[in-house]
Amino acid sequence: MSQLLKLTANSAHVARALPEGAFKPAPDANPKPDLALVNAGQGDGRPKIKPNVPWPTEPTVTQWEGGAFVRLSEWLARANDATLAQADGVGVIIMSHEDPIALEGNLDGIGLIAIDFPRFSDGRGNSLANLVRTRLGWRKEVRAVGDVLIDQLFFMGRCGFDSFALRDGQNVARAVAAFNDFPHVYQNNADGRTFGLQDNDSVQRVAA
Amino acid sequence: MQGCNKGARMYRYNDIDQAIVDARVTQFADQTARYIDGALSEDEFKPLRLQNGVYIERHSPLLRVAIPYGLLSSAQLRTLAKIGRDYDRSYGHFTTRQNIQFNWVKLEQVHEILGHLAKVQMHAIQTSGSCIRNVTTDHFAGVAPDERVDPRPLAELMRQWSTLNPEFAFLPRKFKVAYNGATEDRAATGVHDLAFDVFRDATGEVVLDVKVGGGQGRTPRLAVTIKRGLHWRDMISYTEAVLRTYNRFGRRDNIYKARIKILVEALGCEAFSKEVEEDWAAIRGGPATLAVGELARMTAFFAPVAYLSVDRADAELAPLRLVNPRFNAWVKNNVSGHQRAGYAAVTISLKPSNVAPGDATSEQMDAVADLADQFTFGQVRVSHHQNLILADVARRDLLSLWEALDEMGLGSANAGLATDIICCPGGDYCALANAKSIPVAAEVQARLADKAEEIGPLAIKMSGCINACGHHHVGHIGILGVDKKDEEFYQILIGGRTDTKVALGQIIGKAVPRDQVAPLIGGLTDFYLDNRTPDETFIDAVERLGKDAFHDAAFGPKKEKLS
Repeated sequence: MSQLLKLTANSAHVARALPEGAFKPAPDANPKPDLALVNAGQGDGRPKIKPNVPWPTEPTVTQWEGGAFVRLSEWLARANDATLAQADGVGVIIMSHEDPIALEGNLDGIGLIAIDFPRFSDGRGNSLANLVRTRLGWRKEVRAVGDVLIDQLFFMGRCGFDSFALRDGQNVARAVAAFNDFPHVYQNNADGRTFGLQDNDSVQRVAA
Repeated sequence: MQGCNKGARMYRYNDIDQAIVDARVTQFADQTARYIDGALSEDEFKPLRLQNGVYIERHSPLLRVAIPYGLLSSAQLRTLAKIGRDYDRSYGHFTTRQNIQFNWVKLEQVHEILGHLAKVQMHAIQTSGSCIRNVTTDHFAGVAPDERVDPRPLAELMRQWSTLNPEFAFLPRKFKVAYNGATEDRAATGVHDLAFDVFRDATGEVVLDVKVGGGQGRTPRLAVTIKRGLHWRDMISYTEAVLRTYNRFGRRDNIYKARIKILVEALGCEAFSKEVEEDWAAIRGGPATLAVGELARMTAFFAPVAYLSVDRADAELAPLRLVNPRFNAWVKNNVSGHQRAGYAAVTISLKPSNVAPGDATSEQMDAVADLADQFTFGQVRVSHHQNLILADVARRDLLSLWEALDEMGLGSANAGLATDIICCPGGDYCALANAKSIPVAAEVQARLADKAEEIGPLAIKMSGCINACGHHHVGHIGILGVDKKDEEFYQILIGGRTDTKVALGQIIGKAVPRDQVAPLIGGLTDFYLDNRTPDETFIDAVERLGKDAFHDAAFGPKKEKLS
């Protein structure tokens, strides 16, 4: 049973437990690494390289607490909003290769936009969240779903996500703390946080 | 050690910068601990450690430390020397991206090293991984006589924006950015994912020409210009549009086809540029626009020092050069022009014989730091040729400086010559190498040592595999290690260059076993010496005589001709 984190202007917190299907299950337990082996190097690394990277064609999760997710294409192809209506508005899920700008003019009836991370290292989701916030002007919930791990949460929060369906099996307290990993930032992003260059321009910074 | 860079003409951290770098040390210590206790899997930890410059190499973990645009204070260099002593085997390796790497670190000690680095305003952030890498530029920036605009203030703005950039932390592949602000391109901008040529327009405003899609590796490509005359205030927003286009549409289904050059080529330059323009139109003039005073604020960090006026320095040098041929050769090859009369930029060659190119011992680093304090305002630069630069030496001090360098084994007079070989660590260190590089470079050096002065400018570049960390595609002569049924073979390339006339080299002949590499290259240089016209450099002779002529000289005649 995994948890949903929410990020508000002030802090992150655990919002609720998520139902089956709304989060990615935990993988098998990791063996602890043998440090002596790690420090002895990996020898010939070439056989470990696998150039081809397969990508799924279906989203990692199918559900949210408001019901089943509707795929972006289904939503765009709907006959009328009533056919897909859900109590809290429709939850639309976007895969990382899809184009969120297609939602322009099609936002009525949507309660939540979820962006799928098939792999934690798929950086497309962060660009999509940014576009949802800045280009679509979407102010309601944007949720990261799928392979949502502790060490990417800080970045996700900065790109406009405000809810996070954690992959199961992670340290939830550490996940909540991850949003505070850095006290300052260098970029203007969808979170609207004051960034370094802006700070520098308005305030005489103290040399370290 | 805080405040150690005070007075240096380089960017100095403020409280924001320091807090970010300190937080990164804490974060990486935590990530390492979670990996060691099994909470993070191997696959989950790998991108995190790479984004902190930690590789697991053939025989040991390696830590690569960022040296933004190659600029170091003497205090920073001393810290690097100390890290080499305390955590490595008393040396470090300067890389072709103006960074330094330590080859023999222990994983559980990396966060300690990062702590030491943070105290001198350094870090290892984004020195590897599929993200925006360390920004590089001309190693003579700020002092080069042919400079239009000092690119370092813009490079620093880019460094800050790219550091821990949340949207572009997980790109399809690595992303390398370079700046050039001079007539002669010393930053190899043509082989970068994103590169900026910096100018002043007719009204005196700083503007940039933007190039994308250059790179070496498996599919070498030269960058194409997608934007001209971009105002510097739009540099970040335009870059954001380029990166977003790449992040979204760059291929992620095959790691060999994931660099931006593949996307630019697949879409075509115009279509790629159009995608970028569309995205940029939505953010142009927005919050990513650099504030009016930002360039001036940043430029002040790099302001020239109080140079002394030094007269008649060259007249005084002449008799010293006459009586000391080794010093004379060093002045000729390792001393470059400077914007100020009476000053020079000095290249300290890290390519003596029998040392891996780019390696410096901790003792040498300490000594260079002392010499930098004594002779050049406490600053050292790293060039992408894997040499060190003292950029502001009074010409009257050249003999004293050379004598001190020579005593440390750093007086080699071979900057830019055939023995100044760029070379990757290769099979001796690297887990991905197909072949060893360092011993091959040593054999070529030995073969050409006696003739290097006569041959003159010649860039030989050696990579141990197709990833091209040793830049073999753009060497006047390139050497590429290949694996043929578990045996090390080497291909020879000719005709590459990184200057303003940037070009990719072409393979000549079949791959040869290691013992034939140095003799073959000797054959190429002999052919050049026999056929050159007065004052004609090697690369000019290749272009005049054709690659076939060089092929035939080294390998014997062949039927099918090269283009």
